[in-house]
Amino acid sequence: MQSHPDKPRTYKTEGVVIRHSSSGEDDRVLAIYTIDYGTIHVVGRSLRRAKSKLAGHLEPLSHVAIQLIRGKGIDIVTGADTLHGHTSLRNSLEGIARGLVCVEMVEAFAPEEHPNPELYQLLLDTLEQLNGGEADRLLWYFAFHVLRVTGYMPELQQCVVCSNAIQPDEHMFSPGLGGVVCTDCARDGDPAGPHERAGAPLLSLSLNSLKVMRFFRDNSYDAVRGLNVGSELAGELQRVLGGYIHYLLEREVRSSTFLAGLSRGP
Amino acid sequence: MTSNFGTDGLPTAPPVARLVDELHKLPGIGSKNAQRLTYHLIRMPEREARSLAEAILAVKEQVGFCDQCQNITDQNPCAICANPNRDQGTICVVEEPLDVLAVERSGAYKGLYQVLHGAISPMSGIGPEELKVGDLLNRLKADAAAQDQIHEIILATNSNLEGEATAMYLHRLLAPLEIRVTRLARGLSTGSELEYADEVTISRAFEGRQDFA
Ligand SMILES: [Zn+2]
Ligand SMILES: [Zn+2]
Repeated sequence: MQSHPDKPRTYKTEGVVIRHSSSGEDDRVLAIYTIDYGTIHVVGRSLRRAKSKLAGHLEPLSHVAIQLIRGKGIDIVTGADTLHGHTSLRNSLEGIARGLVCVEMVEAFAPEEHPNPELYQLLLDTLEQLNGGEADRLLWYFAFHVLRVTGYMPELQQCVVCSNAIQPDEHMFSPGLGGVVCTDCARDGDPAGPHERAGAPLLSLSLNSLKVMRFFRDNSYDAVRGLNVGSELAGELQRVLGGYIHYLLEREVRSSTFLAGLSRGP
Repeated sequence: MTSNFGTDGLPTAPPVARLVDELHKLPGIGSKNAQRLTYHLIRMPEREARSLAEAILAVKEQVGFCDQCQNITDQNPCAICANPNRDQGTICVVEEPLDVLAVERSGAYKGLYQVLHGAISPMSGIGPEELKVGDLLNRLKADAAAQDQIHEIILATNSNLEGEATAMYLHRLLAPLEIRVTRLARGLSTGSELEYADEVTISRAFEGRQDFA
C-alpha cells in the first residue's frame, strides 16, 4: 500500500469503518471508507488489548473522525472519535448483516484511495436510515445508486443493442452490456449476438422491476419509502440487480448471502 | 522474501532464505522479525534447535481436537471434559482455544467449554457453517440426558462486531432448547478480545454475566 503523496505527515479525516483484521501481536489493520481519500488501509496499534481506548471507536459500521500519522507503507491511527455508532443497527443480526452489505458494496465498487463524495454521502445516509429501522427495499435503492455513482448505472431508457426507446413491456436485461435489451433484439436469439459475446446470459426483466429501477433512479429515498417491495418483486430485483452486480464483481456480495440465509433460518 | 538477497542487498544462502520464508508465514511475524529469528536460530546450539524442531513435529503428530468441546488436546476427551470435578451443567462458548486459556487463568469458571474456532464474519465469507456451531447443537441434542444436565450456556465470544453477531446467532439457535443463555458482562470494553483481558476483568465479566436479551 503506497501512502497518498498529498497527505501531510499527520492528518485528519472522517470515514466509515469497513472491516478489521488481526495483525502482529495485538494490532488491527482497518479498511476505512473516508470522505477525503476513499478507501484507506491503516493500522491501529494494540486495538485488541482490553484497555485500548481507540478500539471501541473503530468497530466496523462506525462513522468516525480519525487522526493519523503517516507510516512506512501503512499509516497509523493515533486518535478516533465516534460521530455515529449506529448502535440500534448493531442490536440485531439482520441489522449487522444489512450494514455489512453496504460497506462491502462500497469497498467492492470504490477504487482504493479515490474519494467519491457522492458515494460517501450515500453510504452515510443509508446507514443512518438502516439504523432508524429501514429494511431490505433500502438495500436495493442503495445498490442501484452505488452502481450509478460509480459509473455502472444500468441503461433503462433505450435498448443497449439497437438503441431504440424501450416500450413499457416485458424485456431482457444484459449484465454484460449493462442495460435493457428490447423484445425484438432479444427475440433474434442469435447465440453469437452481441449480448452473448458480452459474456453473460440475458436475464428476463419484468415490467415491474423495470419500473421500480426507474423509480429508484428518479426519486430520493423519501419517495421510495412508500414503495411496497413484496417478496416477488424482491426476488426479481435480486435476480436482475443482484445478477448484474455479481457479473460486475465476478463474485457474490458475501454479506448479502449471509443476510438471505438468516431469513431462511438455520 | 523469495529472492536470495537480504534487505542489505547481500546474497543469502538458500537454506537461510527458506527458514526466513517459513517464519514469515507465522502470524505476527514481519519480514524483519523473521530475519532476526533466523539469525538467532543459526547461532543456537544444535541440541536446542533439534529440540525445537521435534517439538513442532510432536505437536502436529500428537495434538488434535477434543470430540466434545473442540478444544486443542492430546487426549480425547480433553482434560477439562474428562474432569469429573468440573461443573457438567454449564458450557462456556468461546471463539478460540487461547480464550479457554485466558478464562482458565482467571480461575473464575469451573464448567465445560465449547470452542467455535472463529466468529461469524460475513464479509470474509465466514458464516455459521464455517464454525463449530453444529457441534454445539449436536452436543445438546445428542441425548436427552445431556440436555437435562446442562442448565446454562455462557456466550463468551469477543465484544466486537463479529463476536456480538456470533452471540446473537447462537442465542437464536439455542432459544428453542429452553436452556438459560447468558452473556459476559460489559466489563470487557467494546472492540476488545477475551484473550487479551486480564484475570480480574475476566472474573468480573463472569460474575456479572446476564441473561441474553
Ligand atoms: Zn433492441
Ligand atoms: Zn473437551
